[in-house]
Amino acid sequence: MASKAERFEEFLRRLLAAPAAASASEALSQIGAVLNQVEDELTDIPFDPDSWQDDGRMYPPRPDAERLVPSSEVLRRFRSRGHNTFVSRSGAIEIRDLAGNIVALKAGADGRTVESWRAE
Amino acid sequence: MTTPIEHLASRLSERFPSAAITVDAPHDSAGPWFLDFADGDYSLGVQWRSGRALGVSAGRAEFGAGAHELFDDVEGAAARVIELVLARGGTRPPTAVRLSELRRGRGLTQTELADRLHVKQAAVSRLENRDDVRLSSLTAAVAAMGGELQLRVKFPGEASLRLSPLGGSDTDGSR
Repeated sequence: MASKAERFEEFLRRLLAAPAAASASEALSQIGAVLNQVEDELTDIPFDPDSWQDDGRMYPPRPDAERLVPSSEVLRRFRSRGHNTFVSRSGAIEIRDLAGNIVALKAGADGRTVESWRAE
Repeated sequence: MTTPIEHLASRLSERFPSAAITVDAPHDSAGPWFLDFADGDYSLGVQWRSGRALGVSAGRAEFGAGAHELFDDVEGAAARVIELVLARGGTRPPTAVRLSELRRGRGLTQTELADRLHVKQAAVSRLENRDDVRLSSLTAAVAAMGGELQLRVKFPGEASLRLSPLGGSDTDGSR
């Protein structure tokens, strides 16, 4: 079984290679589809999205993990244990660790990044 | 009403007044809550959602990973967090999960699981503490939690195979 670091790299590679999303819901769906595909292919760990304890598998952000982004009607934030996943209304994706380091960045279908929306 | 994770945050603020402790609440209060604790260069996290145990994790978090250690109540979680902070310790993901941890992870008490299995609470306690468990008992307990017991066989250098139920017939037509 590939290591988590290797699987995460593969997730990023496939996510960036996929067509840009055009909406927040499309961006979220894309993250989920790509990550679940990678985990299904590269691990033997059964998919259990209700798993609360670490089972060795990576899971995409859950819809109910959303937090409001202050003074922004464009951005949505989804919290997981060690990361925040931001998506924009136009499909941009940004994943940051809790220290604020960007680990994934993808523009939306309109070419704009999460950061460009944040700067408005 | 104060949630268990907010209660835990208060406890930790009293114990470690100089630490930075934040509770990241979800927009939908039924979603997952997170407590972020930082004291100098040390940090750890706690997660909670309604009906689930408090999950404590210290150390690097991979994307989309669940909690390392589960605690039924604030007292247990607080004691473990204090221990970790004082020792600047880390947690590890479980390599194998005990039946009792599975049950707690689903937000069930021994009595609740016993009710679902139509047995007494003491029977669940014995099941959870036995060294050797009947496969049928384990299958029933996991099913009562809403899951499915799966057995896998792994040989070196080969992909793992799912083992058919013992004594049952093949379901995929293979011989």
